[in-house]
Amino acid sequence: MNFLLNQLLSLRQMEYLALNRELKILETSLGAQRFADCPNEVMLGKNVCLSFPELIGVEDILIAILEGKQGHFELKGIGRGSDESNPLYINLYVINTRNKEDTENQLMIFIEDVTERMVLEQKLVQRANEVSLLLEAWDSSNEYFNKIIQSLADALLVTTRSGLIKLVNQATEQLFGYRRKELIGQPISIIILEYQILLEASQQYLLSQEFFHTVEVMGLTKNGTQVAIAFSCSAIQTNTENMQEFIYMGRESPKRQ
Amino acid sequence: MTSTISKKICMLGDFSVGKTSLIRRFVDRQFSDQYLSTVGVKISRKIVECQLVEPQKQVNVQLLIWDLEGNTKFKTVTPTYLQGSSSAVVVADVNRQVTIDHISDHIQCFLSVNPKGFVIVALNKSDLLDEEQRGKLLDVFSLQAPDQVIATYSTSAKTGLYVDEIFKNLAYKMLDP
Repeated sequence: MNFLLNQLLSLRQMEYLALNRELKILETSLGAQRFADCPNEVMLGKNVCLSFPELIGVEDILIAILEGKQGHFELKGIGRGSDESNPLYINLYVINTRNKEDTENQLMIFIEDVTERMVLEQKLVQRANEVSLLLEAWDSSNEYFNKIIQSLADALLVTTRSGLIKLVNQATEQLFGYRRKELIGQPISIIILEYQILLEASQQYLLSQEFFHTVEVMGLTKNGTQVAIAFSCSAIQTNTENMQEFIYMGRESPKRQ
Repeated sequence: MTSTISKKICMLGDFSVGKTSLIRRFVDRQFSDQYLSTVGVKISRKIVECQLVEPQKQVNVQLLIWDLEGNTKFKTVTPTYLQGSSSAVVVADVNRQVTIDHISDHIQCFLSVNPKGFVIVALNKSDLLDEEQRGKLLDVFSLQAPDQVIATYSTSAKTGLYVDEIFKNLAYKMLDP
């Protein structure tokens, strides 16, 4: 390898190995050993797979490159060693080079030190994966609570302080004959005729902080049928803007029918 | 005289399913709860002694285990990493359904590069399930597994459950002519 090329490679933190058809090392740059899995095996006449085990299994590809049947081969981001405090990452590039002095083709393996970039990449990937795991856990927990809410036998309604419906469950849809989409954002008065009674019960809860004040009110289904419903009322403080929301849970009441 | 042959195995799966931990358990007999994401690829080696019956002899299989960076929404495995590998371990986390849903994608990805290859599926972090749940999951998964999947195990890198079995099974299978 000529002097100028050697200088260029060292500027790029690159080393090289020249191999023959048997994948034996014919020539090596001074620093190539540093990048080997087994540095002692980087010796003239030794098979390159002993020092660079990542080439095991791809011998056919290397021969194809030597024979000019394939252009090149590269393996990027190979981590070396198990010491996390002293990481080393390399890229391997394999090309064919015709030696002018004798007619035999040679394989050239260029080894590039990419530790700096890979360490940075590791930090970014670590952060991104941690965020993804957090989102997955949040989704999963959300799905779990949603399943509980949807499987409740009692009708559940959550409204804003002004009485706009924010959440309903399946039992609510069944009780009033509306679909969820038809109820969300609508005033609760479209399904509860005596909404004022519910509101008062909720406000009473806010004052006393006693759970489950049960009140009976008349509800109105989509097809115009009136049903008596016993509701328990409570309220929560939301994290956003410190707003209160009212929670109603009820079922058909046999008493007033 | 005992002969030694080297074989390449790729570990595939979504990120944070425990690929690195399974290797660490098998090679170093260690486990850490700390999550450190793998970038690029890291290669570990371990020799498995295989006793052959016909002809009766011992063969040492040097497993070169390629720990590949886990797949994410934005990054899939680099096909050149898979070249020259006759087998793969596809890993999923039993507590994350999305990683189980992706098992077939990983198998297809591996087989598209190595059509004659074979796969073992590791349903990892199984120590977080009870025995009944583990059995149920295995039953469900084994029914859907393609022919190239030679076995499915409920594994735990934490306890060591079925970890050695995966790699020993692969080592013997790779010796089959």
